[in-house]
Amino acid sequence: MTEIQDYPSRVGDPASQRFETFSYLPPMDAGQIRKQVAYMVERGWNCAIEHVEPARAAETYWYMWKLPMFGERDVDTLMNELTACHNANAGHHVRLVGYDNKRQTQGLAMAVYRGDA
Amino acid sequence: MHRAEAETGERKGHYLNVTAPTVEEMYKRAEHAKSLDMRIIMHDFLTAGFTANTSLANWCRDNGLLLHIHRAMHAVIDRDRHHGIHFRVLAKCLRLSGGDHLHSGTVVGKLEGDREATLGWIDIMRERFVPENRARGIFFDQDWGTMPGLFPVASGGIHVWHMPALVSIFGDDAVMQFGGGTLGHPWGNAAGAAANRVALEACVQARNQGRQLEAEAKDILGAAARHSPELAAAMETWKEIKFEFDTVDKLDTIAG
Repeated sequence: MTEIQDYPSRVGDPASQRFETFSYLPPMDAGQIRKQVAYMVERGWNCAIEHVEPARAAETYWYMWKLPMFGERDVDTLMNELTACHNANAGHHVRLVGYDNKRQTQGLAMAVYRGDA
Repeated sequence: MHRAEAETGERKGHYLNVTAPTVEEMYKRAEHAKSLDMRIIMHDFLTAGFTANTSLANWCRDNGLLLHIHRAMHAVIDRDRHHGIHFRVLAKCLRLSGGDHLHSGTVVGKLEGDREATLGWIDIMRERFVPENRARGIFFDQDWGTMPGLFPVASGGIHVWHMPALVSIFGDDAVMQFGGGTLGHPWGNAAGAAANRVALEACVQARNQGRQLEAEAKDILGAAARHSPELAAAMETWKEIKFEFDTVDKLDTIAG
């Protein structure tokens, strides 16, 4: 059996902070993010981008980037908005939300950029 | 639990069991859980009874806690082919009564069930409209209108190797409950929980990319384990744990 390893998660360590879906995986590259965006679009969900200062990440309400992109079906447009939000808000966490308007709930939300804590 | 929330910034919960001999005692225990600032409590709906379940579900709504529901004793009610109440009906009664989570059996693991029958009662728990589907034991269309649903809970002998099948069977709106599959991790509970979480997220990511989870299970988990020593250790620990026996609870699929 392998040597027992400690699980190095600490309250004071910003690296221990998680962001729900996919936050236990390594950051995705652009190609992998694109596939998740395409999945949201294929399901007919409406995308929105939110961002926040890392110190406020645990709060319910993040800032909305522009407005929710109702009906936007172009993956490139959504990818470009993610980049634009990231560039305009240096150091912030940025997440993409896929809202399922039929079931009136989020279908998927994922942190795309993790800011510096 | 509060420390885990501070550590991760995520919502965490621990099911405090309020099952008790009387409803009054259940309320006392529920109030105590609330005083500890807990998010979720649990009980057994068959031993408590439907009336007590409805009262406790209403108490939870009024007090902002979730209710996780076990089904202890179900097997002596729903496994006799000539007598009793099938689980799809028990699940339906429970949805009408109220609650948030209900154990459903997993298809895989030690508390298995027939795949089609399980898919049938998962639909009864959480879908708004369930069409007739005799292969799944659904004998007529069932329109739930705006009646709230329940989350089905996959639990019982499940471990990381089952994750691809579980995500495929249960989809998004479900609870994956790994007991021994967490606590049995050779590095302890936190590492066990992290391993399960990595496996779950890797499966969701792969599914969203259009990959076939059950056919590609080994590749998907293997790739995720390269970034997670916790998952790699879990895969080594559970690689030979299998439950291979026939389903006890079979559907009579052809109506006379």
